[in-house]
Formats: sequence, structure tokens, C-alpha cells
Amino acid sequence: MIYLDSGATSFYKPPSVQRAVLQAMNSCASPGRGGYEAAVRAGKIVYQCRELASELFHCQVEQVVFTSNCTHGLNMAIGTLVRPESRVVISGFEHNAVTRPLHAIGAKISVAGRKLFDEKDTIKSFENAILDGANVAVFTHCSNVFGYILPVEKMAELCKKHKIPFIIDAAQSAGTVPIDFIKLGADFVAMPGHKGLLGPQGTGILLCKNPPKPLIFGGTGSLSVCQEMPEFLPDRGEAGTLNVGGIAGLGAGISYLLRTGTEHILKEERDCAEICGNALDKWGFPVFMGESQSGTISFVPRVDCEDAAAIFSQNKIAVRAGLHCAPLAHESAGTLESGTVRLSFGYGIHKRDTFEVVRRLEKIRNCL
Amino acid sequence: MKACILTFHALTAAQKGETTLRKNKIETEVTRTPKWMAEQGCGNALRVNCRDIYRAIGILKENNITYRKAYLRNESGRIEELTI
Repeated sequence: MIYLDSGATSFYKPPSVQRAVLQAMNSCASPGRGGYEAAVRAGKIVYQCRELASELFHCQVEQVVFTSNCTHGLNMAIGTLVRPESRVVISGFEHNAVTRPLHAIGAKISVAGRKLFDEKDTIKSFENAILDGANVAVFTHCSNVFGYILPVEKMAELCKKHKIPFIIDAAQSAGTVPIDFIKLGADFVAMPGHKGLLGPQGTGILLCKNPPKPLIFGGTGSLSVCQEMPEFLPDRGEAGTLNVGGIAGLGAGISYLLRTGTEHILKEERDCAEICGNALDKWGFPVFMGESQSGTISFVPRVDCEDAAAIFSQNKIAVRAGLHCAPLAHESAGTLESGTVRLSFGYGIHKRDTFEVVRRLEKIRNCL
Repeated sequence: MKACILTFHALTAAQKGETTLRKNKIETEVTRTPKWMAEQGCGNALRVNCRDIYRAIGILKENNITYRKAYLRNESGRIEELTI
């Protein structure tokens, strides 16, 4: 199988990740709950992961709050900043992990920037929405459907200039596109542990400028007598037992990224996406590609997109089809009715695999 | 070695203190806060050699790491709060 669904989750992991999970499962108890060796060891492993994350994202260790995935983090962040009376500006490429919590709260939403790979339009629309009265911003760093990398640094500058708090969804960028939390000045940046950070499923990180409003209430191993959740980070965002095995794996994934650097990973992913995209384009399929692109591309097949994905699967290429939990993105791009087939390249996939993908697709392109 | 104790509100803060003090060549170790010291129940502390305690407190302050209280064992063996 050639795995091209890294946008959903990373399939291949560095061997150190698996070793770290297994080691933690064999030797770790619950961190911060006891003074015996296994509990202390668990505490050290969790702290090491916080340190590694703080190094990768340029933040303080306590600003690293562990979550179960990016959606969990986004819900916590949105729940902190958004009220029913809030006026929220989002980009045209948000995932349901952003739009559904906003819908549930009932905030007024304005969508700014609907043109794919058009940074100028994104920034201008965004600024107009802020001038129109938006008082909170939530935007994705990179579209999970089309791979469009939004100009988040400039969007962040706009938010800071107009003093509006903002949340960045780094689901598709964390681990490949650089994120400097302090420089960005975001209130929250949410990310999964199991995609670009190469950790296991069931892990995520929410970078917090300030303590969030708790989403879950419970034991933190601190200030137990007090019935309010602790006011300080990271405890305020971490009730209950942490996923120590997962965090151990996540730490190993981040350590790998720090050792090898992320620039070459992004370049490889982009190159692979371009090779495939060019081939699909040559064969007459509408392909969404542009300059500010990650390792994810989408195209519209001539058959039903799910049938097309099934044909890919029969040819041992794993892709995702449909709306990718991002109907807004499809609405913006005009593919809401057809859906798309998404190819997302990630760790473990190299150019030689991509040439093999093109070779296999060439044989079946008339069925797609 | 006469051990002093610095209590913290949470594990992460104690761990940050441990890393920082060790970087500054002060031997220290995270430990559970004795129950009677824990005030609001449950916590973590740093065990530090009393000869290093004032330097340790200075380093923590320089690095914006907040501890709750400092305790030392006096000559008669009793533990008393250190007022700084």
C-alpha cells in the first residue's frame, strides 16, 4: 500500500515513536499522583514532551496543554474566546472542528477569503471583516482539503493591530510548516499529535497564551481541596489522567522532527504533491494547486469521488474522498456537490513512491 | 545533608524548577509535598540542600518560576517555614 492519507493521520512513524509508547506502557503509572518510581517516570516523560514541544513551537513549557486531538483543543479554545454575542471571522477553508463549535455556540460568523491560493484576497477580506466589526478570529494554517497554506503571519499581524484575540488551527501544518507561538501572538494554537508531529492517535497539543476556560473538570493532582479547576497552566486544561503512552510517543515524534528539521519534510511533501498533481492535470482532471501549497492536493474525478477512491484502493493507493469534514472549504472552491479525491503526502512517502503512484494511475486513469 | 523543601502549586512548575536549578548546578529532585505542607491538598515540591536554598530561590525568581513556600529543618530537627 502507498499511503496518501496523512491529512487524516500519519501512518508511518519513526521507530522511536513505537518504542517510546511500548516503553511507557511497560514502565509508567500516572504522572503527578504518586511519589514512587513509575509515577515519577511518567511525570518525567510528560514533562520531556512539554519541553520538546516548547522548543519546536517557541513557547513556555507550561503553555503546552495536552489534549486528545486537535478538535478537543479547538473546542477548548473556541469555548474560551467565543460567546453567543461574539462576531467571529473565519477563513473560507475551515474544518468542521472550527465551524461546528461556533455553530453550537450560536456566534455570528463571517467568512473571509474564499479564493484558493490567493494570499492577497485572503488578507484583504480578512481585514475587511475585522473593520466590519469582527471581534474574534479563528483560522486554519493550512486547508486539509486543498493544501492551501494561508498567510497566517500577516493575518496574525492584522489581529494584533486591531486587538482581536485569535485562534489558529494548525492541524495540517504542525510538524511541517514552522510555527513560532510567541512571534505569532495567537491566543491559542491547536494541533493533533498524530499527523505532522508523528505521534500516536489520541494525542494533541493546545498552545495557550493564557489559561483556557476548562472543557473538562476533574482531578489535576494539584490543589485538590479547591473545587474550582486550578487557575494556572497547564493544569487548567488537563483534567483526568493523561495519555502517558501517547505522550511518550508524541515526544519521540517531536524529538525526531527537532533532530532532522522540518524544512526538508515539507519540501519533499510539496515535490511529491506537485509530481502527482502535474500528472493528473496532464490527464485532464481539475486539480487544485497553487504556490502556497503543502503536501496535500485535491482533484475532481470524472466518476463519483468515492468510486474513484475505491479504484485507488484496489490499486493499493490509500486516499480519502468526499467532503473531508470541511464542507465550507468545498463550498469556497465550488466542489461541494462533487467532492474531491484528496492525496496527502507525509512522512514515509518519497519521490520514488510518487513515481510509482503516477505509474499505477496512468493505467487506471480512464476509470477515474 | 540538610534538606530544604520548596513547595509548588503543581507538578509542571516543580519540574520546571528542577530543570532550571540543575542547569545552574544546584542538585535538586522533585518529590511529593508532605501532606501537612500541601495547604490546599496535593502538590509537588523540590528537595534542595539547605546550603543552596537561597541561591535556588534567587534563580527561581530570576526565571519567573513561582514556588509557594520554603521550609528547612532546624538544628533541633523540626521543620519550619523559611521566611524570605
